[in-house]
Amino acid sequence: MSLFGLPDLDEEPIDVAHTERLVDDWIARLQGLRSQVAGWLAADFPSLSVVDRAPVPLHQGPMRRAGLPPRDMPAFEVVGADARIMRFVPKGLWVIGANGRVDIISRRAAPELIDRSEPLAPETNWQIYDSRLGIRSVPWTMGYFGGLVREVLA
Amino acid sequence: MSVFDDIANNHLATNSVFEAAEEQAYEDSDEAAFDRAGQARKDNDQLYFLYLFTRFELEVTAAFEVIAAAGLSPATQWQERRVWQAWLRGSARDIGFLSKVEILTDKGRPDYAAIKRYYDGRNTIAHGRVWDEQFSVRAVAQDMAGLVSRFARR
Repeated sequence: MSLFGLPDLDEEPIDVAHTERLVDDWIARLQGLRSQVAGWLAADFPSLSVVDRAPVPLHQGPMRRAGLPPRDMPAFEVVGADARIMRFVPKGLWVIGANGRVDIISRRAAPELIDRSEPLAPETNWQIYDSRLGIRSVPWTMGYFGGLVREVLA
Repeated sequence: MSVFDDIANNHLATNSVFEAAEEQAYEDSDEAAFDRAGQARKDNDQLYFLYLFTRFELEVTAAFEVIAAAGLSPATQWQERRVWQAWLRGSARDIGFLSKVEILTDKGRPDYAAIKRYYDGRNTIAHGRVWDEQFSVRAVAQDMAGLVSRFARR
């Protein structure tokens, strides 16, 4: 027991190889998200493109406990010829309530994109929490993304 | 509407303030303001997670007390009642959180694992050791309502 009578934090043995697989999988899912966005732009907004930004370091508690070094989470931005449209900011893999989180920020909205899939599931389950739509999530779709882009272009 | 939905709605209102600050900072290309707004949003998530956990803990205790009362009832066979009598010498509030959860949900099921993760997250914040924990508050609120609805009632 320690502070405030709380039990000591879990220091259960951690599976290093499993933790490394989780990190690899998360980075692959972020790369997949980038490819998906680029594909949607090519289909609906050919004048816009994706550009990489400085990656966001990932070194959350399980990685530190496993003795793994920090990794880079890919970050990117949707841009036009002379304007920035929106930024995708990865927040982390170990998220209570989700299997990874990315915040999307434009000048009109800042929804939270989370993956509700189980760890190492073969398919992602990206869901959006958009404050303008209430407390329930909506699926991350090409239609939703297109709406975000149009709001900025309007 | 559950108490967890009420909290999620309160979170929505406060989160919108920080989202607006991020949107403005993005429009202004003010990276320092962007980072400050992102940190404030994260802090707000942590505070609301603690609030959610407090209410969840009350639900756990209430559901546990119903089962414990049945266990202590004269209608319960003495062979079972004696275990409850020996265990419940004090208040249900004095019994460890996870011990109560084990009465309400199968320890081998995903529900227990999710609750354990919340408990670890709460302890992480309360210890103040790792302030980089990430949360998806509206997802947690939705999940907590589902967990409570599945608690064993007898």
